[in-house]
Amino acid sequence: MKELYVAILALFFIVGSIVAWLSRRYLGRGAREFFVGGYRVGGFLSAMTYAATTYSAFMMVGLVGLTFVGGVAALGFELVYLASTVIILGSIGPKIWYEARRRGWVSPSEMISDLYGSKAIGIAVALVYLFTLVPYTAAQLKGIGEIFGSIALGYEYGILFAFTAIAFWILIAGLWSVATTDAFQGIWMLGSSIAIIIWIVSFLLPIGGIDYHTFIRSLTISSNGNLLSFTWSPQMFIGLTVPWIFFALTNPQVVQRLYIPRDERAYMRTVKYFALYGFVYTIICVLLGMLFRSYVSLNRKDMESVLLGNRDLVTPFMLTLSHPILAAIAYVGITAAAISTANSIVLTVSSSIVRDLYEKVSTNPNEKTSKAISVVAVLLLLTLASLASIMRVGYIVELSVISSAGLLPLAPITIVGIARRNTIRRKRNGFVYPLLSIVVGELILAYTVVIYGFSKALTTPLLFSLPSPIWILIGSTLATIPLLANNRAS
Amino acid sequence: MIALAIVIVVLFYIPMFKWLSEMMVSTIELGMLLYWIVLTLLAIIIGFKILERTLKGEVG
Repeated sequence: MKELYVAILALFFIVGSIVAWLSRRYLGRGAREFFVGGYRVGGFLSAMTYAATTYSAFMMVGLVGLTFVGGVAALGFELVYLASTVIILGSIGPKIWYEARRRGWVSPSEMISDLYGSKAIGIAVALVYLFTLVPYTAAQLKGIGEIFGSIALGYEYGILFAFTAIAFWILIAGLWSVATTDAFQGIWMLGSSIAIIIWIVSFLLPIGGIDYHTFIRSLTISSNGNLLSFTWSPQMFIGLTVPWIFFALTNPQVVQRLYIPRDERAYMRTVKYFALYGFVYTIICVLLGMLFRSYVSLNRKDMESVLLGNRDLVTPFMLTLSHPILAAIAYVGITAAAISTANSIVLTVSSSIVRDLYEKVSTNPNEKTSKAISVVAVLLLLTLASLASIMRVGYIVELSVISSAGLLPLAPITIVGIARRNTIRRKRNGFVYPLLSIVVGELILAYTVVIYGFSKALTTPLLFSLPSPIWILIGSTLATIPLLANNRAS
Repeated sequence: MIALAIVIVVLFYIPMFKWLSEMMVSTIELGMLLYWIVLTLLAIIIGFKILERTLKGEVG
């Protein structure tokens, strides 16, 4: 298994590096080329980088485990994200795409800064990205380290591999190498998940004596209740879904992807291909969790309680039952999911550092210094994330879990900013309200974390039986209302 | 269209009412699964329609 994984991972890295190297011919000069591909990316490439950036290792590990334990409710959780994202990409997305090329936006914090006409708000948003997304990136690296550790390759070597692949694939050609390797990785992720579900349906279930009726019965009478019905608490469902509904507007790595399609046709293709990819990938991951729960409850009762106790072990255990080649391909697929998410985050947060903390602040910014800062920012962010994962800082995973809620205050200010994009800059002290919105949202989150701890911060009722994400959204939305009122008055 | 899209997203939360979820599953075993899949497909179709209109009106 160890040798097979190394061989397939080496093949993956070599092919990925060739793809990245070939993409150099598209790269022009300047930050706009390096970070957003000069707004010249085709529909297929835009869609694949959007999908591979969005869907991290959580899908094949976290979502499969979540479905194994809690049943079909996990499908509702993941599909409400997809549904709301397609609606956002159809309504607000084209406006962001259009304004990005008209006003020359490169980083998502620059978008907020420009909409409100304030450098301070851009710096504040860039800092929110740093605090929320560095732990999220570290959690992705940690996941790769754990895959290496689980097959006796050494945790630290996993981090080193991730660092090398991410740095190399970003620095070769910026967005171009990230987008092309994302497309390659996205195909690998989807292909390996399809291979696993074919194996389960064609081999594992027949060997376990499971047909449709046995499958339904086993899930209906599971130890966690009827897994075909809604088994989650409403607070858990609301608490986990609300930050994800606004993911397309709050997470900079996907907001920046809206800038890149070369024309309207490419933008439309981006949305269509992403919707198709997301739908198929989600259904596969949820089915994997449900089918495997049925198999384990009827054939491996000894393992059921172990897997229920640690749901992140579900996929690794499932893969131990498959052919080693299939398992190695799937492990590389999970590695690809982590790398494709982490590289986009690093590239995007670096763009915020270059644009909002150097080019917009410096009195005489120049292209050469921008390029140098881009490289340093990429390496610095990766080093920070790698150090945090190598030192196994205890709160990394917890921080990464609440990162979606930490970014939630950016949703109202993005929506209001885009809706009032032609007038909001003219408002006197207009930047105060978005700043207040961020502060209110982050304070509510910080209060919840202090009271309930990281693991329960999103799902425990805070007030009127509603969990914190609802209150973060309400608090940060209320802070932006004066902007709308002022706008009407003028 | 946008209002309809918001209604669809809100409908995702209907199964939080236990009795509705039980009723769906007792009618069709995979009722919940199908319910969310149908809602998603509807949301995707509406999303595409909104996209076409937005591109024609805003950008075109």
